[in-house]
Amino acid sequence: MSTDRDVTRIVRSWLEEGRTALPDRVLDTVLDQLPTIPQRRAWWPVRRLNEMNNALKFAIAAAALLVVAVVGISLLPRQGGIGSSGSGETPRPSASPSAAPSQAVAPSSIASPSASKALTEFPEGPLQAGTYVLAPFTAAGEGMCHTPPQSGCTETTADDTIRFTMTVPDGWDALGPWLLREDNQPPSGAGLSFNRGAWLLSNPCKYIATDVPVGPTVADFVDAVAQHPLLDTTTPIDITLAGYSGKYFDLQVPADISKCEPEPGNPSSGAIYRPWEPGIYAQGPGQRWHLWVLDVDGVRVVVQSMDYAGTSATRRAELQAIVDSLKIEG
Amino acid sequence: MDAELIGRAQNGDEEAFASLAVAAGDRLHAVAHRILRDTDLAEDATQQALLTIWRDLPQLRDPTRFDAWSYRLLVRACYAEGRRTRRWAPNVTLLPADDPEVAEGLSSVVDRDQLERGFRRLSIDHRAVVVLHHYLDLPLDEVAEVLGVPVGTVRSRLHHAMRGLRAALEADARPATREVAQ
Repeated sequence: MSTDRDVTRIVRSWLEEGRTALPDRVLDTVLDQLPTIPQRRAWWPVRRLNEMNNALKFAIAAAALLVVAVVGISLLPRQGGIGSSGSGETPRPSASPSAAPSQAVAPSSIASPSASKALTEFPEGPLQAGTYVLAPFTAAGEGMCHTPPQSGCTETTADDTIRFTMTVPDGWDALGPWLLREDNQPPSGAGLSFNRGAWLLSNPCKYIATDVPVGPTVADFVDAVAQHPLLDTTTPIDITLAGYSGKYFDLQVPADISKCEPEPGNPSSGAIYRPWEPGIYAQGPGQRWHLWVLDVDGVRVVVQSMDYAGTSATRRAELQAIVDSLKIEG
Repeated sequence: MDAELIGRAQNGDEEAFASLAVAAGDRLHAVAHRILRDTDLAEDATQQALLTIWRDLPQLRDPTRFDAWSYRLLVRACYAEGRRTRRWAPNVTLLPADDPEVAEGLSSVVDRDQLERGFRRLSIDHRAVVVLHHYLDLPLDEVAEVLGVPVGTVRSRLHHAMRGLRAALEADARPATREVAQ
């Protein structure tokens, strides 16, 4: 075979050979397990990182941390940084309005430098430093609303075009739409991601369906969270991130969530603490979310970073840099 | 795939999902088997992919994207199985073949052996691109969507993979060898 066409023909012919039918016993095993596996409607990974292999742990932790960090850092005040706000003064995002994102130039091993198409999710595993364009709200990607949609969920296919451009430093990992660092685990992990906001749970420690309706606007969501009697939040403040106005606040996960319910049928999930769904799951006690709730041309977008009290200043600075680099294209 | 069936399964209808699984199981398994080149691993990957599809199905907003989305979850499962197999893959040694005669075309056992060996040298990333494009006939932009990477990356991986397979096939020109497990 001397030509590429010959090679292609031979490879195609070779691929046609081999097994195709799935044995009935495999299908039976799957169907037998369905009653024990609850369907997941949340966006943030329920599965805890310590249940995964190291690569996956790294990826998920890095992804979650990076997403949270990007959004959080850009909105946080320069002095305080992510996580600096306690019950007192709320950090104010430092990012200023930005122009439309420039052409994405992704690391060569991850994405073609000439590629302009946004990723629906990051490549799994360690990320090379560089600028990434993410369009997480895509039909074939992670859905943002319940199916059928919650009342108040305004997600439409038109929202699929929302793109987040960010510059990621060395050392971060990714899984799906999440950026993670230090496994996203206590005591020093971090992460960053994007969401849409949703209905709340009246008890974030119970594995129940969402039961606190939330309207479609930024104010609807922010007010509902701020008024929730079991959610420990800072006072929401007006902010602008990447040129879009919105509200910023922190949400503190209790130091002890061991009494929270696990995912039904999946005791290995450990205690689950989740304030809204589809939304975010605490990856450990004491975690702190930094939330920028933005109005992106009429579409509510939540940029969410996360860290812990033990997250290093270096890591927070990286998060700050990521968020500072964030551009949103509606 | 039937959108109504998908909608029912998204709402927890196990019978609807069973129908989906029956309809999708063979094609998912076929892809997994071609990526992983191992029957047991392919079955495990397909099983895991189907369970993940069930679990995450409510997150799929556009039922018309079910096929691409299910391939994405399957490839992820293949990655996981691929990592597992590296821990127990048998060592292989190349020995001179008894019959150095090399026939032309895929009917040649040597061709199959060389392709198999060349394919196994590829990473799961590269195997997935080859299988999605050359077995499923997905255009490169759809492969990119399934894998969540830019088209340029897909093109690059495909080029690299096909170059490796071509090199494996051209090894036919050299003294034939036979692969035996130790």
